[in-house]
Amino acid sequence: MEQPPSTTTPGQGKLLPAALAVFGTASHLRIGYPLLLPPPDQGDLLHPLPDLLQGWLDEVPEGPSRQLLGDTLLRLEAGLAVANGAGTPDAGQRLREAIDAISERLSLSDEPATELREGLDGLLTRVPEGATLVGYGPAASRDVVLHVARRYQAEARIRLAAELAPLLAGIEDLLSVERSLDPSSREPGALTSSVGSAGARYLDAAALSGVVGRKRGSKASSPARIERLKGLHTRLTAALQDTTPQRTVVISAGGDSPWAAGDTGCEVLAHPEPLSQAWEAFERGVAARVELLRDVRVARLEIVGAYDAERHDRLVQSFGWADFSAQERRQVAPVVVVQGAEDVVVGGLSELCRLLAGPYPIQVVLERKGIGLLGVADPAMVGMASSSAFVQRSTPAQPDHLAAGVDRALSGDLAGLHVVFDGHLEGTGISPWLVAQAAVTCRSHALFQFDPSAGEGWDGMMDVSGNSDPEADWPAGGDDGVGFTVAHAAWLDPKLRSLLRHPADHETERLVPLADWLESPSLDTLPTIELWGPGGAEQRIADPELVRTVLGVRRAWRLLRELGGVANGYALAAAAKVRTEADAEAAAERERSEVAQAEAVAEALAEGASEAIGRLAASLLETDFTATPRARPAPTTPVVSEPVEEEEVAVEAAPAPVAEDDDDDEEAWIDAALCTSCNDCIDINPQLFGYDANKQAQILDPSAGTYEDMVKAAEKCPSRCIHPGAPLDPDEPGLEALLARAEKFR
Amino acid sequence: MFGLKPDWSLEVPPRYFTLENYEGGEARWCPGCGDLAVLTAVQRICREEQIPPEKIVAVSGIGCAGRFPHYMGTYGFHGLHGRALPVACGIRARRPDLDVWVATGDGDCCSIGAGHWVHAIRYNMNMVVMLFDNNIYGLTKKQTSPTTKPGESTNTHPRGAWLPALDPLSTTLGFTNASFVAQTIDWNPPHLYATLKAAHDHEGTSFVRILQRCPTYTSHIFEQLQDDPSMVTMLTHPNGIQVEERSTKMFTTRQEHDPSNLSGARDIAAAPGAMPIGLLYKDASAPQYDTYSAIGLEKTDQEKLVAIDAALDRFAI
Repeated sequence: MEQPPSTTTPGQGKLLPAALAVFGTASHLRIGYPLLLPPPDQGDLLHPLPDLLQGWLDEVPEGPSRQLLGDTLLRLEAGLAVANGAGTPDAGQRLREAIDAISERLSLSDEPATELREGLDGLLTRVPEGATLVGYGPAASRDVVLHVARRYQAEARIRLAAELAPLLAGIEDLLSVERSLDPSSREPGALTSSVGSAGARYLDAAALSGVVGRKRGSKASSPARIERLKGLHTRLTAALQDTTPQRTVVISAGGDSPWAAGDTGCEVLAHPEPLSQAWEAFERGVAARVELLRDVRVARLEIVGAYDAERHDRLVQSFGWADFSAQERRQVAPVVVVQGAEDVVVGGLSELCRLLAGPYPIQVVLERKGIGLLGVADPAMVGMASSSAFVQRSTPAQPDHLAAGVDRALSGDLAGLHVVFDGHLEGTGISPWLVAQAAVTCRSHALFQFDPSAGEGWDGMMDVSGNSDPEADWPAGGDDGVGFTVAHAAWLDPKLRSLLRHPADHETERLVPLADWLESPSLDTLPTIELWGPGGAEQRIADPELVRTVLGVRRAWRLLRELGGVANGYALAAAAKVRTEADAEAAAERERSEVAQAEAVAEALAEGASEAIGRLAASLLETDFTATPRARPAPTTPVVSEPVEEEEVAVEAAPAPVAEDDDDDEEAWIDAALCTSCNDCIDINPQLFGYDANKQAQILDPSAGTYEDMVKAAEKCPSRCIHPGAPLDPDEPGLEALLARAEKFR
Repeated sequence: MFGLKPDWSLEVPPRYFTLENYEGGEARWCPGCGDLAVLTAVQRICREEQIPPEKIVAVSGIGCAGRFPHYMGTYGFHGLHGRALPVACGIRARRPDLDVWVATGDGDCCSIGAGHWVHAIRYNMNMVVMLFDNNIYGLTKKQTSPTTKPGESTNTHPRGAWLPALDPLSTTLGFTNASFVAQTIDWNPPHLYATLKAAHDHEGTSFVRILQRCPTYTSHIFEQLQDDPSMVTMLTHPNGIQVEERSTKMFTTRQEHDPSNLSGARDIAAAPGAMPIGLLYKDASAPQYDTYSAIGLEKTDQEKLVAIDAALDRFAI
């Protein structure tokens, strides 16, 4: 089995921000990986394998086998969680290999090995054929994005095939009509071939040719139309038979980027400036499909007889992307452009804006290579400015979020900008998955999705779900009460780490936790964060540039969440206003009703006073003041044996069990939990009795012994846990005596 | 925070142990012997906890119970008569990483080994001490043991044991620094398992007296208790031994007893004719000598030599 790379090994002995220190010593984190990607043409977007394993394990009954299976599933999860797609991506095979490796390493004896194998075989049947397995490696973003693209194309392919088949049948019908009108169809040779070789033996084709008359009332089509129909037939047949999928085009800067690897089933292009190549690549994709889509349009018109050469020939010639329907647009292979976010911010923003505002649904993936973007524009915010493209900030650490975003962009026929961060930085000392989540948590890479097609206002278009504790500036949990800020996360980024420096001796008096400093910034004090390591807590002073980043990220997050409807200033003010008005109205109403009630009570008292006094007097006259007042029942004193007694009462009150006793009489059984493993029964008949995985007795084969064996064992059993049931052989000698002996155990 | 679920830690043990991994030689106690139930319970606990077999030591003295280490697939030490406890204390003193199970009998512990019993309880080193009490010297064929009931006919007292039987529970509860005293029976495996599990979970010396049937020589002495489980008093308490009701419903006589109450425990143990099962006493705060004896374990040989030299130099003239 593949071993996790060393970067996921804990950062034990390393200095880490306090909120992360607890995770630094864990050997493995449950990160929701590996992902099980179903075959593109079926099922959901993706499944985290751990959820699938847990769901399956929940159905396994309690017992030693379940523990072994549970442990083995954890080993599977740990082994595959970060495996970077090495070897075959086929999920079934990968799991089988991993299971074999685990079984070998555990060197189990025959029985548990068989139990494990049988248990895991049940698991493997749940893995769909053709599913793939991906771990959280540097290619995780690629795997998720391209999986969604493949699904998108698979759907388009199915849809196209469903449309082509009836069109082709229609064209064939038209051609067969044309053929029957052709004089050559009455030639003896044509007649012979139309009746087949068997029929030809009984028919005189030459004579038949003279008899068959020309159909009346039909007019042959123009040669141009026949030619057109034949051409359509040929091309549509070829298209229907062509099972080669349109390949997603991936354009990256090449080098060692996982996107440049050629094993993804995509057309991979490398260019130093990938964004500049996207438009052209997409137009190539359009050109590759335009002829087929034009044919489909023409075929539709031909079949209903609406094709008018004069009118339509011109339109057909100029048919292009702008004329495509939404469904037709899906037939064009997606183009995914990948570039480093930092590179684009520095020199490619104009190209990015051109793509996002352009006519084509090109998907741009910008990979961040660090926790913070110091002093430069955030490409995701720039992308939103285009107001026509789908924009998301996401991470493969939350694959559902990323996949849903790509799916929305593709399905919505929108250009997409996906700014992703996977946390694979050199020298962090902790799991890349955790680094990515730290960037999300510190709001530097706060998740959001902006879908301009989803509504007219921000409430529909903006979604900031997926961020923890969205109402706070930063989720709580930091060491110094300020939450987990970019300054804390910066420690994980080697490029930013230098912005956190050791305090000098003369500075120790001026250190102030970042939280306090942010509340009252001062030049006299130094904002610090706390790191935890083997030597205890250590302070680090945040550089002014880092503090500026903290403030900038907080501002950006406040803006984002407000757009996403969380802690929206307008909404809060409106809600406060409505609440004040409602409170005032409710107070007035309460006052009114109190006055009304007081009036009603006063009126009732006045009316009922005389009657009430009469009743009271009557009641006093009837009361016997010599009687002893009844004491209130004393609270029940808890009695030790009370629960048992209660239970006995409950048992007595319950209806007598009927069916259970009958069953016991029929079949022999052992209350295994009470077995003392004393070997008495096994010594009597080792074929009849044996031990389970807890080394407690069970009946192996009730037919492997006599009733006498069963009764003897029941009598000998020190814990009285063997119940002989009814004899299987009614002719066994001395059965009556045996039944009498067995009576007390049944 | 950080998108982690509550079960974020994925600690995967490198190996998996089945019951077979804790099985040594084939157990050759008499068929029907209660020792077999104890052996299985201990093996199950080790499996449930997935303790590597090489991290376990079974220690015993002499007697039927002394065979215990032979039947465990772990390290073992079959010691001299009455010397199971000092050997176990020696092991814990310098190998606190090992899981120590002591199998001793009513002869081994309460007679020849009684001196060690007192001090082992006082040392309170982390181990489970299982007193296999069958009221007889079984291995040597039925001689009177300290716990033999008066009137019981044995080879050394054919007309019946003469002295009142020693009560191991009251005795242990009288020792200084006792931290865990429980009693259970071999013929109810769920209670036996739960008691030994609680003993194993306790940090300190857990003394468990197991009423154990000897089918060969004293098969009759627990028969009455087996036939009428209401004669057994099951101690219950949230801090006591937790066993599922289904397996102990036959013990209808119950008594709520707080295991932190030492005088209450002594009263229960000393009550005439009492047959309590459950946890009598537990004190998790009792000092453990093995924490003291393990000081300096991390020192290298070089550091130890330097320290010895320094100590000897103090005597240099």
